[in-house]
Amino acid sequence: MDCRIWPDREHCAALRSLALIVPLLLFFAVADTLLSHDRTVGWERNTVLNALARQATNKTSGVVLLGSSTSADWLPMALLARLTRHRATDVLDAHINGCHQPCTYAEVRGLLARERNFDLAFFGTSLFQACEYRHSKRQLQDALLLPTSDTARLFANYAHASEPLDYMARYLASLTSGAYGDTEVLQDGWRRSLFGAPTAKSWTWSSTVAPPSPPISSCDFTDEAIAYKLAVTAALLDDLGRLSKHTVLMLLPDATLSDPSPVHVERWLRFRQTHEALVSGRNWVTLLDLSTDAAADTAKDTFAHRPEHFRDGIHLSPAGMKLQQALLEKKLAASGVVP
Amino acid sequence: MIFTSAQFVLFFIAFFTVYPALKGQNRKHFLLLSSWVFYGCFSLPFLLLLIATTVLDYQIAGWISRSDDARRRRLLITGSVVANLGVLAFFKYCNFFVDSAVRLSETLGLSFAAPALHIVLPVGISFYTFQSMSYTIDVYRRRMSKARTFEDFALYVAFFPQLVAGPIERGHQLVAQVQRVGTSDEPAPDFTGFLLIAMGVFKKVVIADHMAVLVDATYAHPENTPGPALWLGTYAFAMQIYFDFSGYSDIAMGLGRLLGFDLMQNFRAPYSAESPSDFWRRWHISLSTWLRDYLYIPLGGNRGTGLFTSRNLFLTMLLGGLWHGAAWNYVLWGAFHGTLLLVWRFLPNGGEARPRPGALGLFLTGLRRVLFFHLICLGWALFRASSLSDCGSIFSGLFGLRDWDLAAWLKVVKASGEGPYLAFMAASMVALVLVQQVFREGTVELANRAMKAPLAVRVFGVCIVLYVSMLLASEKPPPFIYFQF
Repeated sequence: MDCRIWPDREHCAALRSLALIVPLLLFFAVADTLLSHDRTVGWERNTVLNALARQATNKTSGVVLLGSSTSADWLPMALLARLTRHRATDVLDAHINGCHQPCTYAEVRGLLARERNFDLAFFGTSLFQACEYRHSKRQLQDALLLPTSDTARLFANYAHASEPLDYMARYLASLTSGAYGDTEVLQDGWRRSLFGAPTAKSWTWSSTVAPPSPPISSCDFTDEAIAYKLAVTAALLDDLGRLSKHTVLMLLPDATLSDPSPVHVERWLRFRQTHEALVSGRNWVTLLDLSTDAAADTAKDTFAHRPEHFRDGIHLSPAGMKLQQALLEKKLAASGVVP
Repeated sequence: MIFTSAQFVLFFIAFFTVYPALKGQNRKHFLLLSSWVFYGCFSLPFLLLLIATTVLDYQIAGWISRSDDARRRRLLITGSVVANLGVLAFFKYCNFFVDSAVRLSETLGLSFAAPALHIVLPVGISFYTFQSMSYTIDVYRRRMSKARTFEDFALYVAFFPQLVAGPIERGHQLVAQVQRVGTSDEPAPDFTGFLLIAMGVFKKVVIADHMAVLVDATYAHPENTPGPALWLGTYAFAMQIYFDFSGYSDIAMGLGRLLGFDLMQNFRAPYSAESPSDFWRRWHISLSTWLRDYLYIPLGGNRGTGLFTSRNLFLTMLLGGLWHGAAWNYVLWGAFHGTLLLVWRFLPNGGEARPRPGALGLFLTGLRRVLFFHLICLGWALFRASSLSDCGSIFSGLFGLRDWDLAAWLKVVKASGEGPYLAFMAASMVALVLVQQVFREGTVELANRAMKAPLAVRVFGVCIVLYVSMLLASEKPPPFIYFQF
C-alpha cells in the first residue's frame, strides 16, 4: 500500500500496520489451535475435554461424581449407582484428573450455566488438596470450564491466593493461548518422540546412588497455605447446593495416616475440623469422613491407612480400594442420605 | 514478579498501555510509582527499606553538593558509604559472619551459642546499594551534579527494568535520562527493545532453564556424581549462568529501550575471552567497571609497585566474589579469578597474544579461547558448589581422583536411556559457545543486525521467538540466578 497516493496518510499508516498485525495474529491463532486441539498431545486439556464430552452425552439428573482421580478411581459408577439406588446410566462421572476444589468449582459453575440438576452430588477431597498446588494447568482448567461471565467471581476467589496477580495472569494467558497451560505435557511428548522415553534407570547417568522417593503430597495447614482453597471450597459447597438436592462431601485418606508423628496427626485433625466447620450451617451437605472409622475393629483394617493400601501415597491400591468401598457403603447407609 | 512470568507480562501490558498516554511530569510520577509497585510485589517491607535508603542517599548527596568544606564533605560521604554498606552487611552478611564465628569457635574447641537470626535478603539489595553509592560518590567527586528532584533520584534507584539485577548504572548516565522523561528531549521508543526482550526471554526460558536440569542433577550430590557427568554439569552451568544473567540483562535493556532509556550493555560474548582481563571486559561489565572505579582505583590501582598493584587486583576480585554471596565458595571464586589475573600479569606481554595471520593464528586463537573457557568453567564449579566440602567432591570428580571411567560411564548413559538427550544438550553447548566466537559484541550486535531486516520480518521474528519460548518454558522455572545476590 503506497501512502503517497492514499488520500488520508494517517489512516493509510494505520491500515498498513493492521495489514501486518492481522495475518500475524491469524498465523499464531491457527498454530495455537492446531497445537492445543491435537488430541494426541496436551493431556491436561484432553482430560478436561473428555469430562465435558461425558457431560454432554449423559443427560441424567440422578447422581454426579465430582473431584479428581483420588475421589473417583476407587469408586466404580456401578457401585455408586447401587449405593444410591439409581440405575447405572443415572450416574454421571464428572471427575477430572488433577481437578482440585477450584477446578470443581469451575466445573459446577459450568453445569449450572447449562441448567443441569441432580438428586445427589458426591465430591471427594484429599488432605494435600487443602494447600495451593500452583501449576498453569489449574488456570487452564478454569479457562476451559468456567463460563466467562463468572470471571469476576473467579478473580474474587483468586484474591485469597498467595499470588492473586499470578493466577489472574495465568488465567488470561490460558484464555489467549490454548497451549499455554499444557506446555509441560507438550514438552514431555516432544522429548519422548525426539529422544525416547526415559527408563526407570534414567538417573544413573548423574548419580551412583538412587534418588530418594519423593515425599507423599501433603499440606502443612498454615492459615496462609489453606486460605485460597478454603474460600473456594465454601463457594463450591454453596453452588453444589444449587446444583443438587443433596451433596456428600467425602474426606479421602492417604498414606500419611500411618505416620504417627505429631505434625501429621495435627494436620489430619485440622483437615477434619476445617471441613466440619465448612459443612456446619450448610444443611444440604453431609460430611463422610472416609479417612477414619470410629467403629473400627482394631484387629483388622476397615479403612485404608497403611502404606500398602496406596499405590503412590495418595491413590489407592486394589486392597485399599476394597476397604474404602466397604467403608463408603457402611458410612453412607449410616448417614441416612439415601433413604 | 520475574520478567518471564505471566504476572510480569500482565504488569507490563497494563503499564505500557498507560505510560505513553501520559504527558509531562505525570509520566515520571507514573514510572516511579510503577517501579515501586513492581518492587513491592516482591516484599512490602523491603520496599520501605528501598525508599528509606533512597531518602538517605538523596539527602546526603544534597548536603555534599551544597558544601564547600572538604572535611564536612568527607564526613558526609563516609557516613553515606558506611550506612549503605552497613545495611548491605546486615541483610547479606550477618548470618554468614555469625555462622563462620560459630564454626571457628567449634574448631578451637570453644562453645559459642549463636543467636538465631532469621534475616531474609531483600531482592536486588546488592545492585541498588551499589548504584545508589556510585551516585553519592560521583557527587562527592564532583563528577556530576546532584539530581534535580527527589523523584529523579528515586527513579534512578528504583527504575524497574534494572532494579533487581542490574545493570548497575552510573548516576551521570541514568539520572540524565531520568530527567528527560516527560520533556520534549525524551527519546522515542526503540524497536530494538522488542528484539532484545525476545532474545533475553529465549536465553533464559529455553536455554538457561533447560541447562539447569543437567546442573541440578549433577550438583545436587556431587559426591555421588561420576567425573564425566560432573564435567557435563559444569559446562551446563557455564551455559546456565551466562544465558540466565545475560538473558535478564537483555530483557532489562530491551524494556529500557521501549521506554526511551539506554541501559549499559552487561555482556559481550564472555566465552570468547582469551585472558582474565578480556573476560572481565565481557562479563557483568557494569559490576566489573564499578569495582574498577570505586574499589580498585581508590585502593591505588596500578599506580604503585607491581606487588602493590597485585594486592589491589587480588583484593578487588576477592571482594567482588564476596559481593556475589555470603559464602566461602564465592570468596574462593573471587580468589580464583584474582589468581588468574595475577598469573596473566606475570606472563610475557601480560598474557595478551600478538595477532598472527593465517590458519596458524586462527588455530592459536581458538586454542587460547578453549583453554581459557575451561579455566572459567573451573571457576564456575566453585561458584555453583553449595559448600566448601562440595568443592572438594566436585574437584576430585573433575580431576579423576574418583569415578573417572569414561567408557563405563558411557555404558551407563546408554543403559539409562538418556544418551540421545545428553548428546543433544552437549552439542547445543558446543554450538552456543561457537556462536559467541562469531558475535563477539553480544546480543546488542545481533539486535542491531536484525534491525536491517524488513519490519514484517522483525515483527514475525519477535513473535515466533516469544511463542516458542512460551511453549518450551518450564512449568516451575528456577528464578534468575542473580536475583539471590
